[in-house]
Amino acid sequence: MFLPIDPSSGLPVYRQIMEQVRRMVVAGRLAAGEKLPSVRDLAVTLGINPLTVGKAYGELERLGVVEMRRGLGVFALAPRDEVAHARGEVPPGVGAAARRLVLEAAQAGLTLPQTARAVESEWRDVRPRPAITERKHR
Amino acid sequence: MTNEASVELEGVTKFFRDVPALRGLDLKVPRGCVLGLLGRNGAGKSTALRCMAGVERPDAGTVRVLGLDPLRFDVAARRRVGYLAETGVPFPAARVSRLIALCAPLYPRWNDALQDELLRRFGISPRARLKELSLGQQRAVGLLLAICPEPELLILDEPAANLDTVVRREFLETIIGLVGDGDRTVIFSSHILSDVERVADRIAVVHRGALRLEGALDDIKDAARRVRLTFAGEPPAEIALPGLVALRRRGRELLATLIGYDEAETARVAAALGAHVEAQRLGLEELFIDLEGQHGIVDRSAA
Repeated sequence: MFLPIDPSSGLPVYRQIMEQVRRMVVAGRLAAGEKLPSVRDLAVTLGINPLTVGKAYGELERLGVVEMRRGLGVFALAPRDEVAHARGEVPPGVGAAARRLVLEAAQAGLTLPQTARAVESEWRDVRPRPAITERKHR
Repeated sequence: MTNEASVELEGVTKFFRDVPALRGLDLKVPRGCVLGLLGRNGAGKSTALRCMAGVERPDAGTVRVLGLDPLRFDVAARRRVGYLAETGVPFPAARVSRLIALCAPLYPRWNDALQDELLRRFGISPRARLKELSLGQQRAVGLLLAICPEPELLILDEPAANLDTVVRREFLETIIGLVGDGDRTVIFSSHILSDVERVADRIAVVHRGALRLEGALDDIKDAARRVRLTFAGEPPAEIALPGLVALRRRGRELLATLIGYDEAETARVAAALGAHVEAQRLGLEELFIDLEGQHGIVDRSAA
């Protein structure tokens, strides 16, 4: 598993790990049930404190991105089902992120269509194809 | 990890002749953490570590290491603490194997496998004499003698100083290999902040013999921001922002470094002054430089 980490960044390293793993899961590069490196292996590979990796995994488990099976390791979980949100309910995490995005965009003087384009471009970056189409191919 | 302190310094003061090295240093190091001790040259880092290791007697204040006074450590307590001094190797004329043979029997938990791994990792021949080794290898022997007894507390004074990048990385990996089980505490001083950011989960900044900043590295990074305030006209000379540690003026901009960033309060202050505000995270190196610049608040408008 390749995780580009920058320890000198102002963003705490555990948060960088979390973000990378979440991106991989959402993009389907880390399939449901796939095993992640152990805390110690990832710490040695990245040259960072194991406590930091443990903290990232713990937070990812709390968010339902991975599952720690005692004695077996850490495994990726499937991204939440899109159908569950078909009624248009916005999960609290997404709502909060949207509020931050709108604030940033408005302060930078972007219009709503410009902001939407930024979201679209990021979306294509993270999820190149819709997950449902990909399932049909298999 | 428990909240029990591994090391506790209270009001530790130490003079060398009439020059103060430590002026009432307070520091509590929780068990199981890796603490990076930062500070400029002469800030008192080595003296603080020497007091913890029990090789220096403070003029005032109390030092508690594993709940005991390190100056009164008995043999059993001494086995629980490993210390790598800033400079020097014992017995430079001795062979590595001889030095190990002298030290190992003193420690019931001496780790032979770790000893062999470190010798291999740093390319040290047991038959070599210490003075024939490179500076990095001499440091590695010092590290070996400090960690092979499997101490609960490891005190390392500038372990990576003067080492090349590759050996430094080996050092870091060795330290990484020692932590993570939650029981062992490591305290190390360093000027190489990128190393500290990799290995330490807590940092303490010592400034002129006293504690300037201490906490979990992640919390400090989350609370630190550099805020750029852009004004329509001349910026004010002063600004009241929570957690301000450094302030710089550049034309119509004020650059404020904050620890304890409060987004809402910063936005409120900026709006009241009619300024546009932009906040950025900053790494440990930039934060340290701002923290240490002339007691914090600097005005470089003249530059």
